[in-house]
Amino acid sequence: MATYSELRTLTAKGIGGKELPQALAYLASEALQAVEPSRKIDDQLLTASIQNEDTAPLLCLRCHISHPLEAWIRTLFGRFKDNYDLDLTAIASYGLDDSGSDKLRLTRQSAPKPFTHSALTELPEGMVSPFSAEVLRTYDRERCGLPHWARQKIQCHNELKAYLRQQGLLLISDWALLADTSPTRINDSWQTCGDGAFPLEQLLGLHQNYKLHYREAMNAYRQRTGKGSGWQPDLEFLQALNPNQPADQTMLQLKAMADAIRKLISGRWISSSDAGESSWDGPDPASMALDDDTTDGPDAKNLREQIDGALQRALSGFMPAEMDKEAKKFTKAPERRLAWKLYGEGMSQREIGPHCDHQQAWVSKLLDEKRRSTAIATAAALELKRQVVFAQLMTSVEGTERLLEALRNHLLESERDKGDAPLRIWVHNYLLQA
Amino acid sequence: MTKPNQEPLEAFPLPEGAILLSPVDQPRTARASVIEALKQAIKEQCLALPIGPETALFDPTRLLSINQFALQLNVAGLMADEVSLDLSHWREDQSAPQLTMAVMVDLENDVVAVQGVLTNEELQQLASSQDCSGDALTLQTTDFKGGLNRLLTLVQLLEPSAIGRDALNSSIQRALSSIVNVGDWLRGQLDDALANYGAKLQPVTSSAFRANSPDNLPLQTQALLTIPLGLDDSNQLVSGSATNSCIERFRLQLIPTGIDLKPTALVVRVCGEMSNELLPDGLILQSKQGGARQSISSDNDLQMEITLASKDEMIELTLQLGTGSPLNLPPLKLQ
Repeated sequence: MATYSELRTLTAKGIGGKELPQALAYLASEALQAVEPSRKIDDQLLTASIQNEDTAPLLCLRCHISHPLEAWIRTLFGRFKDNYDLDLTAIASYGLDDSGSDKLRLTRQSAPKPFTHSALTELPEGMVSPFSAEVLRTYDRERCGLPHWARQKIQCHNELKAYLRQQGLLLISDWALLADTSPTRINDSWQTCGDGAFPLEQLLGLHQNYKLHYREAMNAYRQRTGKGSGWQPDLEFLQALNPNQPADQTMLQLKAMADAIRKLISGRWISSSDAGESSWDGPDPASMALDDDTTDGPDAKNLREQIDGALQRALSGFMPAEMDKEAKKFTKAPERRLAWKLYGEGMSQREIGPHCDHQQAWVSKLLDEKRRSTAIATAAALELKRQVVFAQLMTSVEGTERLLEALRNHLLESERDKGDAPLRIWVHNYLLQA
Repeated sequence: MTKPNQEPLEAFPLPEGAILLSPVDQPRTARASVIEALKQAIKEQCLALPIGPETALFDPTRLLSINQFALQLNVAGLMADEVSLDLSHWREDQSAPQLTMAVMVDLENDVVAVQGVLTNEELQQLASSQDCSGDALTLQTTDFKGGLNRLLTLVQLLEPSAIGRDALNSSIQRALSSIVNVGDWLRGQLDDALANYGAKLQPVTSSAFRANSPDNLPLQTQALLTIPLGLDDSNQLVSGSATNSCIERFRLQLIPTGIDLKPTALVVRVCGEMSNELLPDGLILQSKQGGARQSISSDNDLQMEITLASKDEMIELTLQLGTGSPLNLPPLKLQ
């Protein structure tokens, strides 16, 4: 079967497959070339690699796990590529870095040794390269099947986590997800998205036990290793959750619950780019401070001048430092300057993205409009608070928040078009002088 | 019900406004992560907001002081849908927090995301329909709104005295235990018990004392007390300032009628905020006076009305939408 002889790996041309003659020859010698992949065959190959000190059966397993790893990587990339600046090659470099060599280096300084099971056991603790070595080194067949284990391991790959975190995505392990989930959500997710393989009551009972044991297990893990991540449930843990069934059955049920939760959350996920650019119909801050509804009289005009003045001073107090920090990145990343320029000219985030060859999420993160506008509006409100008419508004939570929203609205939207919004004008003028 | 996706989500978007902490050699506690995140955010925004006490990094229940506001930190995992709120600080007036905040922490990824903040009053309203006799209260993480921005703006713009430190349900209990004398309204006095519901005593024009009053008030109206009501995002009945953010709003009017300063009846009316606005269907107005009960529900109605005669017995009024939490007014006394 191809999965035991074809290694999916990252090449100079991207992700590709290579048929490994050594793996093919071994499968033929064991009359396994036409079999479907199964837990039984995985176990057979693993046993052979342990008993015979042979690189070939382990090579077959390395080929085998490269397929679910590739599927996981491609699914992750495919789901998020439109909204996040992900590089498929970069992601693949963390999980598909096995070249198929029959040699393994235990440390950078040591000479390579044959890639056998005993060499794996000599590897130091901690993530090793290639990733397949890490998967096989830590695999315990009593807990779960090998493809599942490969997916578990890539979910807690620290360097991949760091890369994705930089791009705005988080790898959350099944274990943390289950620990964070309430019985209500277990119920909802199983009813909506579960595969129905297990009765809900049984899962709820298992989940309750899991949460109790997880906290203790994580505390012990942190004390023992000094780490906050990388914990995986061992046999003892799984057996404690339900002594009446095999550990791998418990693992399967935990995975089923975690998958259902992921599907439920996936259905509720709204792209951050969609949430970033909503306009709203906030009140005019000047009218909030007036007793009557007249917004055209001299009092209203005076108030507007005070508001505009306060906003301008707040802009001048806050934005120079913000833009100076941004400007330091312009030389290495000129698209950042372009994005700010287009923003200053009145373009929407959705329109800016393609001009800079980036997704809208990148634009949203760069502009960070919500944080900046809130900080500016707050500074303006602090100044306006010195006026009795505004101070009266800010004696209550509700009045304060309404005024703040009105100031933010005034800062970000203009009555005519986006080009007149004070924040955009300020940015435009800054870049003209820079 | 949410439409499920076919495949489980492999990774999750970073929550908006999430704070990324630098990885450290020794893992932090959740509380330490939160305090570090707050300090980082305050420093990045160049704000002068003192935080203390720092020595409570290993005491998850200790209140935090931020710019002289008493803040409660309620920490949950990053993907949590519920958060547990410790009630030990909520048993005594002046010890209760002014602000209570839900913070989601991912210790594996060193990420802290502030879900939102509730004021003392907002938490009181949420808790009013729940059992608060235990050590903790479980709330949905989505009950907390506004993210870190809301915390920072409130503690900068408000004076600490603007938010009370009432013990849980003490204000409601005080309201419920006190009996309201309707006769006081005729002298322009409004009881605190009703003020807590946002009640306002409105001036009654002389035309109200004539038949066919343009204000649609009953004949011999002596006073008009109005409580603003609304339905919030979860279709729960709310009153007072909470109605400002409601799309569906209406009013409860309590109208004593009679001659001179002696009320002989109380007209209880529920009507739309504007004339010709329909009430929500399924709204139930109930009264109990001694052994007598009246109940009326809305169905494509502009208003509902009950009239209660002046008797020795107290009047108990309840308004409810379907099976939602009822709004119980303090007992009223006409005689």
